[in-house]
Amino acid sequence: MIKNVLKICVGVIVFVISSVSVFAVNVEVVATKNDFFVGDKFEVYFKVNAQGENINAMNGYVDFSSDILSVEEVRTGNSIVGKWIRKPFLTETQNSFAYIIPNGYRGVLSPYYGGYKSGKMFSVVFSVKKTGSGYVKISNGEAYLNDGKATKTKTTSGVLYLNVSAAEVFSENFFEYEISSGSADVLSPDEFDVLISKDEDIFEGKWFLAFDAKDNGAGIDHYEVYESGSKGYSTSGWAVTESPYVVEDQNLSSYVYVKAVDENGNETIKTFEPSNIEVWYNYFSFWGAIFLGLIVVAVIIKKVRI
Amino acid sequence: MCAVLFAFFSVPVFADVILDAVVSVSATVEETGGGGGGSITPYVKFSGYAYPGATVYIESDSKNIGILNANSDGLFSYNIYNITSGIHDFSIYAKDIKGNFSNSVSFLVDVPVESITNIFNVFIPPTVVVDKLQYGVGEKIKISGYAMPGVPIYVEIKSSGGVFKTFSKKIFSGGDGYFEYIPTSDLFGYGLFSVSVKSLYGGFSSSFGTSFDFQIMKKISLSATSSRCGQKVDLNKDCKVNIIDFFIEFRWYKKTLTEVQKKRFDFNNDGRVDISDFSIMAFYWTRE
Repeated sequence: MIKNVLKICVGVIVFVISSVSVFAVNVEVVATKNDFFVGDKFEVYFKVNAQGENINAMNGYVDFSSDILSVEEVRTGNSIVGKWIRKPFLTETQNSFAYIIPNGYRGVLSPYYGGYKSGKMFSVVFSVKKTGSGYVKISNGEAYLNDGKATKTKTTSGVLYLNVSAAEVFSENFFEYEISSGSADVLSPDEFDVLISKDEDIFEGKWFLAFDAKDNGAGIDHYEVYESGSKGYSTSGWAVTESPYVVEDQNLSSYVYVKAVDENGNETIKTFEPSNIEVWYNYFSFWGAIFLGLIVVAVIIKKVRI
Repeated sequence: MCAVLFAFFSVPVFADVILDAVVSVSATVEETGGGGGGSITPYVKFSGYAYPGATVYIESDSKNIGILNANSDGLFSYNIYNITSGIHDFSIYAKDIKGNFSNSVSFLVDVPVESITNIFNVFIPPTVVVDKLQYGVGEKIKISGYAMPGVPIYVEIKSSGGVFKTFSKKIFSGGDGYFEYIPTSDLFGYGLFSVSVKSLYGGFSSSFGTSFDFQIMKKISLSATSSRCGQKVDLNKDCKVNIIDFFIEFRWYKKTLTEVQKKRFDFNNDGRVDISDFSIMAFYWTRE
């Protein structure tokens, strides 16, 4: 009798404990169209529904039928991601991604609905290569709780299934309207900080600049940098770079301009001002010229008197 | 017996039934089309609860966009213009009149185009400090801070390491928002502890604020210093965790580490630098 009571109690307790952890972070995989034809381009959104959890990091792989689909573009604008550790498809075959959201993420609030809803991590524009059946999903997704201990939480992913038919022939422009228009983005990237530091374990202790801009349009495409001994920059002479950037002038006596450029060419420029301005009287060449000038003047005066 | 076993696995801390405050968002969006009609000037309005006289800081995507003062009732309200539409990661935190900072309330909002967006019910957790880092037997531990005036404060003291224990106490803040709780160390035994507090207002509860660690020892060490710096994730030791630390850590992401490098960059001691270490860094991320 007592054994039976204990078994029931343990069963109840196990049920309660397991039901407490039923929430899993879910990645929603949403396409911009339902019918797929050879030659189509369409955009797939990967959105995170935290489902009551507070997470601050996630990684995984974009898994898709590569015999049917190819990746045209990755869009990271207007995203929940705070800092990218690895953006997906930096190369054609690199389908992994990893990022953090400092201070945590529970979902996105909006005036159009109550509570939290899922937010976009990134989207991928695919093109359809041939007929057949395929899929797009996130594999090996791992989300981490915002608890300071990197506790992993259960993560699931939806799957987008698609059946590709032969190309439609009645529309000339049907490739274009399914993809959300990034070309309407005229907003520059948000203002961002450029911070300087140095560390013995990075760049052999050289001074470097760290920066990270955000863009609520099409997303950041790249950064450019311009170093100059005098204030101001020209339209040419910029070099494509990435963060962190090793400062060329390690004396920190130059102006460094960092430009964030989004996918549509909109720009935001930040200035790092020199912290070690070389003053004119420190130049040996200046004092040398003064000295020579005085000698010349003295010689001239002497000759005139003679 | 079932009830006893069930109670053992439950962790009821307080008897009150309280709901966690959730930041709320509404918006007035400009109507498009039609002739005439004035257009609205878009802005985002933030409002909520802090402490009397607190300085409230508002950040968007880790950048400060507003600094304001809460009134004598602890309420604050602020309009910010020139916020672009789209998803923004807002963080709001406060500094009390003694200069102690709260935890931040962070949330993502999809700001509509051309709208007056109202973000309200932002409930900033109380501040809390402990007067020392180490206590001996029988010493009084002064736990104090600021919250909304005249509200219930829930103090939670947890032991860390060894046997897990939680001690709870309900007190009330004064008319100026100040509260204090002064137990003796005998109540808790020896070891490491952390204290955090949350408060109630209008039927809702704030989240627990920043925790403050202290130690109860048989013998006091003279080397303890009171400092909020020294987080392992603060790699350049500037008392901030930001993109500089992020990129220093990134240098060693999935790289082979020496034993010396593991001590510095492997925050969870699993022998490697991977996303779990960045998750720990993200938890301690601080504002500029």
